[in-house]
Amino acid sequence: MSTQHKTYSAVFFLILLLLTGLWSCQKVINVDLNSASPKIVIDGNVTDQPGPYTVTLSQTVNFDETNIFPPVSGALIVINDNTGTSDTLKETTPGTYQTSKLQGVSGRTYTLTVVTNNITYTATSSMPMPVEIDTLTLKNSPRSTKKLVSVTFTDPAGISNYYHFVEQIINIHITGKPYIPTLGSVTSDRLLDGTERSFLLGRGATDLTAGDSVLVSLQCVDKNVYNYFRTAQQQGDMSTTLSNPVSNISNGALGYFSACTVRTKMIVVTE
Amino acid sequence: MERKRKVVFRQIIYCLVFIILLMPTGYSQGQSRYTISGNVKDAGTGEALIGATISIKELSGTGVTSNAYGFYSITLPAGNYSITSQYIGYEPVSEQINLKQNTKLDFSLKEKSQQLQEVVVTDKRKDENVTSTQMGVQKLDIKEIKNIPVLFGEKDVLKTMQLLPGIQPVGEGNSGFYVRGGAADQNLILLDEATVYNASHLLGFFSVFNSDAIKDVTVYKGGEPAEYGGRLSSVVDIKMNDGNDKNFGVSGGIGLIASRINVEGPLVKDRGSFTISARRTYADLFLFLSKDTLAKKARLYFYDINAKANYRINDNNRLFLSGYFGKDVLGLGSTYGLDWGNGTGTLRWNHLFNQRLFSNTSLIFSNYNYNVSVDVNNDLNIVSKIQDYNIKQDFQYYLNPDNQMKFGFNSTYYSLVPGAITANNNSFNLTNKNAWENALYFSHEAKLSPKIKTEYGLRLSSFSLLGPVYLYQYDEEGNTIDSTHYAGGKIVKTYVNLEPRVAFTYLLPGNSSVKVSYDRNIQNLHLITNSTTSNPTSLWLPSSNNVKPEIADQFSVGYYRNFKNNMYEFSTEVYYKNLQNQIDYKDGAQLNYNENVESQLLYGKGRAYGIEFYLKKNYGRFNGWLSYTLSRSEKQINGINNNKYYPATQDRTHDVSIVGIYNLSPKWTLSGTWVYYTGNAVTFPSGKYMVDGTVLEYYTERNGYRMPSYNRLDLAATWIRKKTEKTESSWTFSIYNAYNRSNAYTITFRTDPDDPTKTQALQTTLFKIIPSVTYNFKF
Repeated sequence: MSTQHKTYSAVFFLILLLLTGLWSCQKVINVDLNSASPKIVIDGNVTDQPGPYTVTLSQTVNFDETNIFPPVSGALIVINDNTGTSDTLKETTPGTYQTSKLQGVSGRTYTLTVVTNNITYTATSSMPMPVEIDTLTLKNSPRSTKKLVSVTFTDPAGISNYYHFVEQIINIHITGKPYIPTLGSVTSDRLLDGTERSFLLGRGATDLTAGDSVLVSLQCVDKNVYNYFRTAQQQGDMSTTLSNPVSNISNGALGYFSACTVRTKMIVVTE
Repeated sequence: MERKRKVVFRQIIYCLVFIILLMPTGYSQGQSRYTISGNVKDAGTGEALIGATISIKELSGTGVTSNAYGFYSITLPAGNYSITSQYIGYEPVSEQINLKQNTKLDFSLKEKSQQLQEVVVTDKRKDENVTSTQMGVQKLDIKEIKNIPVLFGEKDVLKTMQLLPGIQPVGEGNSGFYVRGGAADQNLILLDEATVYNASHLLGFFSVFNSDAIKDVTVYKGGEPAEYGGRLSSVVDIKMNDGNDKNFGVSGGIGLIASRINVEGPLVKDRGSFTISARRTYADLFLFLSKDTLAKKARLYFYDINAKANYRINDNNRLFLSGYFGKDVLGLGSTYGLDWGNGTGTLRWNHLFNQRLFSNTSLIFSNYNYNVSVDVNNDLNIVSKIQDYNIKQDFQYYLNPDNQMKFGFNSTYYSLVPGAITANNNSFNLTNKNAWENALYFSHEAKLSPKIKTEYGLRLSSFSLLGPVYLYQYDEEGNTIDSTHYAGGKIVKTYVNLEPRVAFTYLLPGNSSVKVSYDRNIQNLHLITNSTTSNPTSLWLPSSNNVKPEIADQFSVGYYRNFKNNMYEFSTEVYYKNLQNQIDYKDGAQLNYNENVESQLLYGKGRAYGIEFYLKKNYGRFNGWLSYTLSRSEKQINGINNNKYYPATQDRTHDVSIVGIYNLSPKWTLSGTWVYYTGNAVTFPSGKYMVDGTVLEYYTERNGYRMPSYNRLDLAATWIRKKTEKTESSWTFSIYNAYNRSNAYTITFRTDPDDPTKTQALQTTLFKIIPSVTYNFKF
């Protein structure tokens, strides 16, 4: 038996080698998607850093159109906090509205009211206590040869914390490929309460190269905002629950409103 | 509720009293009657033959079939009879008997040689599909499976099963399946009576069933016999080989990415035997060959072992011990690891109380567990498992050739560990769940007239969630509004259900029949999964105060006809299923390791209906089948798609399978299969918008789109190099996806990497053309 096997095993390996290249492939296809009537998108933040804070209003477009999203002008936008401060936002450019006097403070709850086309949208968000970034380090990606930024911070014990990370790559090198922004990542202390945490960033499609500077913001957000970003990340997976991210804004508006703390640190990518 | 339960119990007691009264008295009038009983075996290996017919020449139309252990019993008036036992692919054996006392009569049937199999024989058993009362049943011939290679040239019972009407694959190359519009978790998959909780190896590309170790596969798509329960859509009853009790033998195969070996032989000649089958893949070899340093760090393999032993103590007592153990290992260096596997064990005792009362007692254990470890920066380890301990007692009573009864009970204790989590040396557990399921059943198969047969039955099942456990109550937003702790051993919540079933067969002239049936099934374990494909980390959730038992009522009507001496069989069945307490997920549901996972669920109803056509050629140099299913499966759940009916993921309008096997010469067998099916219902975006400078997809409805339709041709050729009485060596050459079609596995949407002002759809194809070769041996 065994001599037979030896002769044949050479054949197997030959076929194996031939095969490896033939598996799994990707191609761009045309999918005939329905069109949908435009829907309002609200996107706003209040932070514990000095203002002004911005709220943007835009609309959805059909999937096959160019990425130009019509701004929504002339809306009435007010942000209140639970201590009686009220700030009516001014439209600085079409669809972009800014505060004039509001200052975000941890522990306060903020309410956003948007009135446009006779429809009122509201959202509330509570600003948690801040958590500092301890260090930023460069790590090798466990899944590829990419370099990634790791954020170390210490999770306060005994309370629920929700984190949102925003990574801004200030690219010195011209890679030839355009930069495609992705939403920030989120994590909670649901499984890791009160420990020193490291969190590996790098949902972005862009590779880091030596000389790049990466600006990392660590935001402490409330549970609803965390849920917004968590569910936004499910898009594109083979998910049974594919849907619009769960928004904290009423009346079916897309987008989110977040009152959050922000801490930033910068790291320069070395070889 | 209490009163209702009492009424139910009283009905059951009446039923039992009725059976007991019936037993000793039935047909005692007139001349004296005696029982012939025995076992039907393969003459060469001693393997019990399941479903062999025993017919009486003098009493045309009278006969019985051997049960799952090869046992039969038939009671007749005293007299002279010619008794014939027949089984597909075997030479019939006839015995003359002068019946004047209870008689023991065993049959040993010889397997037909390859050449003889091509000869058309009049074989009574072949029209069982027409004459039996069972609807929605499909039996897979293991020899057929061996001629139909699937992905990578491996034989696979679950994948071959998907070529039958009403049974559809979950996706490309996947062993997961949907039956008559039911979800993948609504199939009860049994291996020697033990529930297999995850039948997939390597994320679904292989099933856990090694075809070398399998003797018999029966699929019930509806009208499941009363002894089965616990799942809504189907029962797949897989029985392992007993082993050769005459001679030692070794067989095996060396394939492209897996090899297997089987050893069997007598424990005590003609009294007991054993068999051990093992498999291992070496998919990781591909990775070693890769130039990518990262791929070299990857682990990717599975192995499994099937073992069984049996011993005949005497004519009235026989013991079987069987087990399965399998494990999958996926990993990447020390940073990421996922391993999972099933383990089952079954101890069975066959006992004959008398020649007409057959009993089987089974002690069954089943375990499924997985282990995730992630060590990127934080050390995270998660263990999860489901175990059951089951005692099952089945009786078969052969009153007379026209009346057979089955009754029995089973009691199962479930232990579920949804997640024991260790993170950075801290550990905590999601609440473990324990449950106890009990069932009592009775069924009666009766010939009402030469033309009309019936089978009816009743299953009474109860499912209790046991403490220690926290019960949570949620508001509509999913916030916890109340929680109650129940101490250990307390019964927290019990559901009692009656599951009736009834079927009639009306025999028509010309070897044809019409059948109607109704049945109800209950499911108390629900698989919660956030993936549309087979996922080893899906969660089994027992019924609780929030999750109600799923209920399915199925009605079906069928027409069956065999042509040309049973050379061709044709059947068509129409079914309608009404489903209650169906589960779907809230938008953006958090299903992973969530103590409050029940707050993420939505409940509603479903309906599934369709028509199936099946035309099979049983004999001849060319044989095979054609199957077509037209069907629909929909759900209506408040909170999804404006509370309107929407297609379930598994809703497939058309499904076609064509299977052809051609015996070119005694040495060469060619086969081909072609499949076509409508794409799954999926959720695609209908627009897009921008948040934080990022383009996001805008969804307007769940499952509002379709994946492109799927089609594929597979070809295979088997060359028997050498064949003698005892030894055999053969080669199987196969081509998966012979015309190299790019079938869509997933379609995702992204920003065009070359033009960020545009978005595009990206289709991933998993397997294009894959040639493979397998070497099989036996000595």
